[in-house]
Amino acid sequence: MSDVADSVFEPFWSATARGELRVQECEECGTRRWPPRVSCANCASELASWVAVEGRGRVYSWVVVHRTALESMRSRVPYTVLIVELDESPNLRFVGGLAPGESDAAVAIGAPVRALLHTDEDGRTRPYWSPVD
Amino acid sequence: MAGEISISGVGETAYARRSERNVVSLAVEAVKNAAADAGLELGAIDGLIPIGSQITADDVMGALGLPLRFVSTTPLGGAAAVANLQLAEAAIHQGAASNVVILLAHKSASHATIDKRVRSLPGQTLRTELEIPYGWQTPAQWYAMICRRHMHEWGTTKDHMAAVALTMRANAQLNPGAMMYGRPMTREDYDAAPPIVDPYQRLDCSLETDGAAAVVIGVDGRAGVRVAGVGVGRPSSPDDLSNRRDWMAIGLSEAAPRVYEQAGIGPADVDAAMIYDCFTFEVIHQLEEAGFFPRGEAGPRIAAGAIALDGELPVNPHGGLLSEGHLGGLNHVVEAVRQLRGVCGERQLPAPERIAVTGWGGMGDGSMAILERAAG
Repeated sequence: MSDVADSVFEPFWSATARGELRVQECEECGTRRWPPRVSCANCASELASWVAVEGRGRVYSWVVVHRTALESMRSRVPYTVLIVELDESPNLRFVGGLAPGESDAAVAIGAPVRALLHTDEDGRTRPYWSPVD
Repeated sequence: MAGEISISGVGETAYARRSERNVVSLAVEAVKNAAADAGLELGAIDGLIPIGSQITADDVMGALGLPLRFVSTTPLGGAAAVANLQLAEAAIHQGAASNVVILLAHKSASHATIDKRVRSLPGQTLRTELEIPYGWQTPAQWYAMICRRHMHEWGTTKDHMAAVALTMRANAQLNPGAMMYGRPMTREDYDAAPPIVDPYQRLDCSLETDGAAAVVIGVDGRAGVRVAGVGVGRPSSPDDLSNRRDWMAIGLSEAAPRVYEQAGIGPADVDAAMIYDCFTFEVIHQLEEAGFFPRGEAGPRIAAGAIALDGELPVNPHGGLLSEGHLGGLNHVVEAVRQLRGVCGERQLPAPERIAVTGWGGMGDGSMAILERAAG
């Protein structure tokens, strides 16, 4: 199961490692999709390309986690988790965290944010989000 | 034949924060109680639907020697208890079994808490790749996200959520079997509870429970409670909460109209509702998506007393998952049957004829049944 999953997600992580945020676009019907899937839920085509997106969006919802069972996150509580809707593709929403050093003071539904690619301790480069003034 | 299948027996163990007994022992007690309640010898139970990851048919057969010829289950998280009423009916219709027990037994408080149980849900690749690295991993954390959006879009407030918690706790004061019996809650208690995942505080969250519950489905049951309608629904992206076009639309939104149609009634014909109250906001959310209130109106109506025992739509007279105990919502089926039988003592509703029961699980899977007091 894991090697199949890796093949679906690999292009995304390769792109973030190069400093790009990309999402899938169906080569048959043109529907953009997120999260990555093996085929298009609109037309079932398995042909997809990876297109770059600008990484600007608005907070769709957010929570502040005060208790976590994840060892990796224990030292960070309380921390904010965001869902961000992309400006250019309003039906695509990313789950993410606040960029390092950002406070949650400016976080509210509708607040503009931009993606910042940050390489975590595990070596993977992931999108985090910074409030835009 | 649909009208002939009924819920013929219900049974449970005590619900506790910590049981010294093992899970199979709890399961055995619940099955024996349910069979006795149905007036059945154990040997008459020939179908079993185990729910959850902590009990198997092998465990139950090994302990009780049941002559099982039908064993199956619909794995659907917290929506499974109600969803499996459908499976039990299908098995009986098909002739695979005559008396099917739906069984949930777990030691969730002391052994396998929710953060461990969720790792068996579908969508683990998505969780691992895109969510857990940001520390978004538990049902409380997922559903708090929907709650926040509802607060923004539809005006739900902490006052509304407090009203849910306080109503459930008040109901539990009339239920000697509830974990929170004898432990009333004030608004001050609610406000002072520590944050879990803002906007949820401790008392917005359901209990973790050690215990077991069982329900017998059969033909010609003596309980006089029939399943007038039952259905299951999944949201448009069942494994991904974030990218739904309509964030409030869940499996229940799609299942409820089918269930009303099957039962030949509408929401206004329901006398009470057992709502899967894993969190306070989920009562508000599901009451709206099941069609009892328009979106944005459940909260204010709850704050005005709508779901209290003497309200227009009493919800969870037993105290629910928030204050009776968390048996995956199978305890909601048990309570609905007892209310329809009229055996609930101080918390008994005045002669209810139809009660809706909902389930909610995973990233928004839903189930609903309408249980009805059979004529005569």
